[in-house]
Amino acid sequence: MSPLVLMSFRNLSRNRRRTLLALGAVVVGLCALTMIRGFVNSVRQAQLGATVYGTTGMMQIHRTGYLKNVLSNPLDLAFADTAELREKILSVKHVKALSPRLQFSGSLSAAEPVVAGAEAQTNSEPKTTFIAANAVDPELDRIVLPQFYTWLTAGKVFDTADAPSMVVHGDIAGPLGVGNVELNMSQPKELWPVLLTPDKDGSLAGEAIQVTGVIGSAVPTDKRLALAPLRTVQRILKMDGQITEYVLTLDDVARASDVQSDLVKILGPDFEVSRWDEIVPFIQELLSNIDFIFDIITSVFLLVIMLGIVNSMFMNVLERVREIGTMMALGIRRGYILALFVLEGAFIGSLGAFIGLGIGIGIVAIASKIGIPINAPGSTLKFMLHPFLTVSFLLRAFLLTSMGAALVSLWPAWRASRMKPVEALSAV
Amino acid sequence: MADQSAVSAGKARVGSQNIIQIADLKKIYQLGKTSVEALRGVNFSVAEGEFTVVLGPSGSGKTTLLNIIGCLDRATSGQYLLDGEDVSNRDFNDLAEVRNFKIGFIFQNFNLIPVLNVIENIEFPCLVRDKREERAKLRERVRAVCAEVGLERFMTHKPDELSGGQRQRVAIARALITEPRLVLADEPTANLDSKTSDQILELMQRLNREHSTTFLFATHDPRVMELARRTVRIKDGLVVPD
Repeated sequence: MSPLVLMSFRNLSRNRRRTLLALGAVVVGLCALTMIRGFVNSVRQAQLGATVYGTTGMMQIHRTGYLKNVLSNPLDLAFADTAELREKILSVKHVKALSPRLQFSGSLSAAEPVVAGAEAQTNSEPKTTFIAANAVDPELDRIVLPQFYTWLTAGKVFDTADAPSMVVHGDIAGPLGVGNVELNMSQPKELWPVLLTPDKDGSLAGEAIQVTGVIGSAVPTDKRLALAPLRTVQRILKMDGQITEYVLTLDDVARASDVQSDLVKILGPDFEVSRWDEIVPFIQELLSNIDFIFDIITSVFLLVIMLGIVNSMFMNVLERVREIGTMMALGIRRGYILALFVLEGAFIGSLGAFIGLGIGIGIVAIASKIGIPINAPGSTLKFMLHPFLTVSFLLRAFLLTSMGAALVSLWPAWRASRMKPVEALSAV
Repeated sequence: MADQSAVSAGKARVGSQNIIQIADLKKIYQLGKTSVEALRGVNFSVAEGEFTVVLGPSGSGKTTLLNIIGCLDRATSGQYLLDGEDVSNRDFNDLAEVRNFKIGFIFQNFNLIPVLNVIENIEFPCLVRDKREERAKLRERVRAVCAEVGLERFMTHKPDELSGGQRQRVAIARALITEPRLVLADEPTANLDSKTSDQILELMQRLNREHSTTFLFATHDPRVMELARRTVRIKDGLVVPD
């Protein structure tokens, strides 16, 4: 072994307490960073998952101008859902599945009178609530937005696209008096709530519909949300075969931009293709902000760790002035002294990072197994977070700490290497 | 700057070649606004194989002279030829190389590297060279030097496991492993008891005799003075004539 490496390594055991303190700072810092990263990763994943697997899908296709007009007359920009169009979209690389949807709005009115005697539905006053609903084919929609279907808090989702039933958000169900799903399903048709919705011409169309399920949300979402069978709604709106959007899922969300360009080429100017982060840009901003905050925390931690190492290295230099003089007398060059102390710093950084990351990985693994329940702001359901770490984070953390430690050790090492041999030898 | 004739003024006493040739060497320290002349024009030479003692009271300039001879410090003016080479104006790394190849140091406080064992301490000066000797060959030489200074049984010991005399033997072995042209010993017996001092001095004398290694001492120890074949006295920054 090179005497340089040997000495650097052995020097670590000279002042064990100091080395342990410097090492401890690195271990605690890296361990804390690893745990925070694991937690942040799980928050990001949960948020991203809830968005792309539960709300927007990874990508959406609309008629051009739809997103700008969605609040005025969305039905005006409906288009034909044809097998040919579906095939065209599914032929694009990385597109895994699609779900045709018809977005519509309307009102849901409880029938009068509501069954007497039922505890939750005793109020016989007629009630109406506005809804912002998606009409879907449940079979296809489950593939594209699987997480959405896990948010069902009561009852079940309709099985077919032409079922006479729908699912509503818990915040609507209660006040409307349809929160007791089992009771709803035993009611005769005359007591079903009535769905009223304006068609393309502005005329109101309506039909009695059974509420078979109540849904919550794990992300901040519109509390007027409802889900209805596609063909049922198309029939009510006299829009057979018409939809307002395709929601897509890809085999890799990171490929969204590539897929978007390919789809734009294939579909031409009549359609607009939007990525999830274009549909809900605030989620992307939220994720970016989480990363930014984590970066600040990382910088503060690393700064404290590096200051600890610099301090320890300066003490080492001051304690070994005469030894530095001796080595100089024996004929070593300035670069050797520099390398000796830099290597010592790098050893502390690497060893500390290794231990800190090891402990951090262990804690994250345990937390991941147990799960951390958390309530997201604006959500009605609890998230179960499962912290996880990526290899790239671990590699970056290790390299940054060991290289950073070597880099900051340059300062005391430089001071040591610039000593005059005669002065260093006469040091007390 | 001294001319070559002034350098030649130093007399060679043992070998035909002078290892040290110093002419008109001056060293001035600047202490604030005051200048202190530690050496005021020293002319002095040491021939190959000499066993020389530099004597002088505290503040006489003895240590300053030894530091300059050891290439640990630079003179303010004058000329210093080590083994025929002018080393007065070399840069740090050049001087480091000169020290490594041509000078061996024995310090009053032994100055061993505490994290290295005896073998590692001894071979250290050879391992920091750009062109390293073959490890097995070097180890063989280290063992031979250890045997010569009586350290065979302590080769894997760390300095703090050795007595003062043993430590100084390690320092001597370390000074000799590079086969230097000159060994500088600054008060080598100051921290040793009289019996150990005698043994160390005997050892150095033997090495001087057997290897013709040039030894230059700075000491107050009368025993060293008795053994020295030549004494150079320094007073007030000048060499006092014999």
